[in-house]
Amino acid sequence: MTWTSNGFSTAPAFIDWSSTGIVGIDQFHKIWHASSGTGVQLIDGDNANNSKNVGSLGKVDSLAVGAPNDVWITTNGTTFQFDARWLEDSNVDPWISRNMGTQMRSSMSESTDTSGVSAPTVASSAGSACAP
Amino acid sequence: MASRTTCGAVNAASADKLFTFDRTKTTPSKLSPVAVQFDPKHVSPINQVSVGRDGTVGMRLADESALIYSAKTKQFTYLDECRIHYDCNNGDRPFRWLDVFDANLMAVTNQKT
Repeated sequence: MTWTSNGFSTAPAFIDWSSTGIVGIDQFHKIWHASSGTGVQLIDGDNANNSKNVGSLGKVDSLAVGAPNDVWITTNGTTFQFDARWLEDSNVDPWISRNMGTQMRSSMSESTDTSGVSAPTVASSAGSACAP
Repeated sequence: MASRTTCGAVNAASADKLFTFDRTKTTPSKLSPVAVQFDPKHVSPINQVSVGRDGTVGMRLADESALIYSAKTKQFTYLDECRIHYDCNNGDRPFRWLDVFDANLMAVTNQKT
């Protein structure tokens, strides 16, 4: 992966991560990477040696970074939000399951987790950053 | 999302179109088309779009290049493969993802297949 802090006006910084996938970056140059293989990695753009796996996930289908440490992913049909407490305490599960209200579950039953928010209606679109 | 009122989207049926969302609009749609100015060398379907906090829109094009739209200046900037990729012009490394934080801060991945 490469990243820039000057709009690619000069050669970008390169990080060899030996895998690729969805990437998100925040203003502190923290790069969240969902490998096309498995898992999510948190990469310090300024010092890639400070990178680490975030939990032990399977294949991650989507990833979005909002405010710093406000990271959302979907994997195996479920939506998760990053729990920033994990940064200070590795015993904390880094991913909190959120009920988005539209998940297809094999049991067709609602999750008991009511801490999530309702998902907006999403129209058919390719690669959209927002939907009508 | 660029602000609380605008964001970007592309349409799978019209892969060279970009739309901006404005929740204050009511008719005919909250989505309005943006006239994308492709470089003649880079007329290509938009595979993915990412919207930064300042309204900058990054578009990953199918031909491995990127097109950046400034909501402030309404100008488009073209980023050739060699501006953004490691090991450019290696067809074995397709452009995988583009994320825009703002006009200056962006990240991309490409992959070796």
